[in-house]
Amino acid sequence: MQISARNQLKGTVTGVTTGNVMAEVTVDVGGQEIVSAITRGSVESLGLAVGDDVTVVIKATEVMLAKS
Amino acid sequence: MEVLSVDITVPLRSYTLDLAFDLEPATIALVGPSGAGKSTVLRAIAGLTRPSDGRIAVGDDVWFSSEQKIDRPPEERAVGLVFQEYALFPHMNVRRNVAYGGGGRVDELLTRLRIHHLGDARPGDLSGGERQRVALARALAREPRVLLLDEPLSALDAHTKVTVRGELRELLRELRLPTVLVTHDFEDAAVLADRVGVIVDGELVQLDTSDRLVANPASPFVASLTGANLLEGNARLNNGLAEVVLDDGATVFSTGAETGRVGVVIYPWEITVSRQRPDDSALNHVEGEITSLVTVENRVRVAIGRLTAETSTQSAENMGLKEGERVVASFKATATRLLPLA
Repeated sequence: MQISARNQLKGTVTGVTTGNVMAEVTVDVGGQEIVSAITRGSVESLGLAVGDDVTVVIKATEVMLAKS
Repeated sequence: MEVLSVDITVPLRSYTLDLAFDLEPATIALVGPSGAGKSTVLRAIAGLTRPSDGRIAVGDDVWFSSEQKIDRPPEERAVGLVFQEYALFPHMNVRRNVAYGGGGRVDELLTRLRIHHLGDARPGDLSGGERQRVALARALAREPRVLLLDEPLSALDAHTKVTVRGELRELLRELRLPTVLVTHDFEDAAVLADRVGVIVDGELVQLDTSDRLVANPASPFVASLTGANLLEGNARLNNGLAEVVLDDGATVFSTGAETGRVGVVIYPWEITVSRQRPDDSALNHVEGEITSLVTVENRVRVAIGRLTAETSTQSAENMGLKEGERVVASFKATATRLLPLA
């Protein structure tokens, strides 16, 4: 998939919590957890479930850095 | 159709204000940082500040001309001026405040601005939105040929502001007067005005429709000032999400809660660009042709139909994006906000 977002991380879904409209999907990416807030409709249309392989797409301009 | 024609030079403390524009019966918003000279433009048109040079005219009626040595006093200029904090007389009721502008049409104006029931109230008893309508009624009571609004929404809290802004927009469209408004907020400018002029240090650096300013900013400063895409359409709720049918027929989903006539706000950096429709969780995929690619420092503004995306220069180069090719602009429903427009 050619897309302008520069960060595309492969991971595995570890949790899906759905509300009325929104859903929170946690993804394990190489031992680190990434949380995605997407609509419940998107969870359903992608058929997302625990164990699915997914790509986490993050625009470079959306990433904040803090010095540890 | 009357045209307001402004071409003025006003020396100020740290720079010289120097700008020109012609305005048919429509609204122009002057946007820029504090101290850029925006309010001076209004003061010069109203006759409260005297330019060193230039000309101000409405149709054939010349209000100021350095060449012809004309400088009409403020009371001889048919201007309706609404001040930043409205400047209503606190000791007079609404009716007398409006009558102060001119006595003939008070009842008509109170009715038109939906404040007739407040005729006996004092300004201190009114909400921010009501005070603004009183100030507008007083300005209109002078039967102005030009309307000037100085930061018309700055006296309102954030929640009241969006409602009042939608009402003001409708009113300005009905009035069809040449209107100049000053604001430091690009979103206000995009909602209220037909054209937006960006003023920096006394200079009009760019004057265009708000969507063309977002797609094609003349400088990094304009790019940072002009925040968001603003698309218009009609929203209804569908399974907890707003489904907005845009005026061009496309549909956009938003987690915003407004319904009815709305503006959809999307920041360019929330939009990703791809060649094929990605199979991802983003609910919004708008296909269109790239109409322009404008580099601003290390980023590129990519205009796709009426939407503008922002990517890094690196990303645009990696993809080899070109004008004229068809691409898909994708953005999340959570990346949009809805503004009531009526």
